[in-house]
Amino acid sequence: MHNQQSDEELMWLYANNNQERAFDQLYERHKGPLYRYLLKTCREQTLAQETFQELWMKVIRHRNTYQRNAAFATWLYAIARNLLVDVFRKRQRAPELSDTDSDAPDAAPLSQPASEFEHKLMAHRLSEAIAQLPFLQQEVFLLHHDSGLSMQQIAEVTGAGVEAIKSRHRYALARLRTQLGELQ
Amino acid sequence: MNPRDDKDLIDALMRDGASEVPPPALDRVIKQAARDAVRKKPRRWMLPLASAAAISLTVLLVINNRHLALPSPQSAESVLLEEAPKRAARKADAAPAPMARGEIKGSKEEEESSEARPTQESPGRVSSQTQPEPAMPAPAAVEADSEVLADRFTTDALGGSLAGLNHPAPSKPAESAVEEEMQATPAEPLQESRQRMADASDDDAATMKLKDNAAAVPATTTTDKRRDQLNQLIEHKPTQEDLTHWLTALQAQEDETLYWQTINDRLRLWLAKGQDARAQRLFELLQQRHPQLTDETLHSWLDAQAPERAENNH
Repeated sequence: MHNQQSDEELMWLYANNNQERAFDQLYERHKGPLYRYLLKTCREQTLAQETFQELWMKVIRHRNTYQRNAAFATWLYAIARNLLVDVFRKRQRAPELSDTDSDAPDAAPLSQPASEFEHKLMAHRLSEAIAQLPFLQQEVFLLHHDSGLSMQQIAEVTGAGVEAIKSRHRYALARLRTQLGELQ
Repeated sequence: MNPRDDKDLIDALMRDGASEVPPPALDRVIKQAARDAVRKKPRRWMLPLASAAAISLTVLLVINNRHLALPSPQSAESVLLEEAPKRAARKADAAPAPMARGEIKGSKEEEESSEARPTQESPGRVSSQTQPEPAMPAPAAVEADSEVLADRFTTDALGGSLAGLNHPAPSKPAESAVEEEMQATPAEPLQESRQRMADASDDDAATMKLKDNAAAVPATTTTDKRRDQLNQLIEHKPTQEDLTHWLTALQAQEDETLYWQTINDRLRLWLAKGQDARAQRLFELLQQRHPQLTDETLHSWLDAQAPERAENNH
């Protein structure tokens, strides 16, 4: 049975024992979700790649400041979020910071796609719908559904309360359901 | 379909749409950076520290070797200092006021035969033995050639170094010093004295140049003051010329301890401030002047310090 090491152990091994393979494993584990999170938030491939590289460079540079008892994913996404805020600030494009949509529609349930083609089409539409979410809802949705972070972890990353995160997630789902339902 | 089903569906759609990954080139860059970071041995802050320590030790070793092997230049100066008043007194005794020219010459020759030789030999020996590498003009070596030079050394050259204790005023130009000497020995013919002055200037032109530079920094009663004044020459973004001028002026102070200590302090200061380029230029200039400061010396000392650096690192 393969005994998979935790993120925290791998990061500790890299930072303190200079184990390059530990870093490689960590990178392979997180690169996809992290990259997509940046890509979907930035909505610009070049910028997402630059931010992605800068993020990992920060991880490498500050490896000695990492505390083993802290969740690696939380630390990683907190850095990513800070970088995104900087990116938005530089672009003079403040993210839409409304916490909730007061007029979130009460959407009808989605119907299951009938064929594989329909499934792919829906996936594409979902991606477009996510891009149109307000920033705070979008990040909660992506961190939860794509990166696999728990509500508690997202709260730590964003610095918001868990209830606020749950609320943002609820509104995000409602919005997506509406947009996808309209297209069905 | 209930919201739970919706969530599952969205998760499924997300998984299907999760195909974007960073380009392989970016993967390689990041992984390489991670490797480089842990393979890099000396950290950035260690190099200046190690260099400063290496240079300090090298300088100390050089100073120690010179002091251990031979009498210090200061001791030669002290001997000259002590001899000077005695000689002047003897001259005055041997040449009372109105005296015939021949008699004066005769008495002077006697004096030279009895006194000048030991006076010449003493600094001469110091010069040949204490200066295996004559890059830095020590006072004894500079003043070794004749009694005239030795006499002037006591009145003029020391104005810039040890004689500062006796002569708080800035050092006097060579000619006025010799003229003073002429006044102290009135029986000496003017022409002869002028000849001595000319000889002195020719023989010791290089030294006089150094002293001219040093004249910009008058001798004061404390070493710290002199050092501060000298350091003003290189306080702000010194050029190569400034550094050369500074070193020359420092040498002209004819105080070996002051010389090396000031250089040592300056190198450490610059390296501590991260002004490595300046320190490097200074070290190169030092190497030009003192061939014993080789790169090998520096490297071997760095190697010797490796365990200590590793310990500091931990």
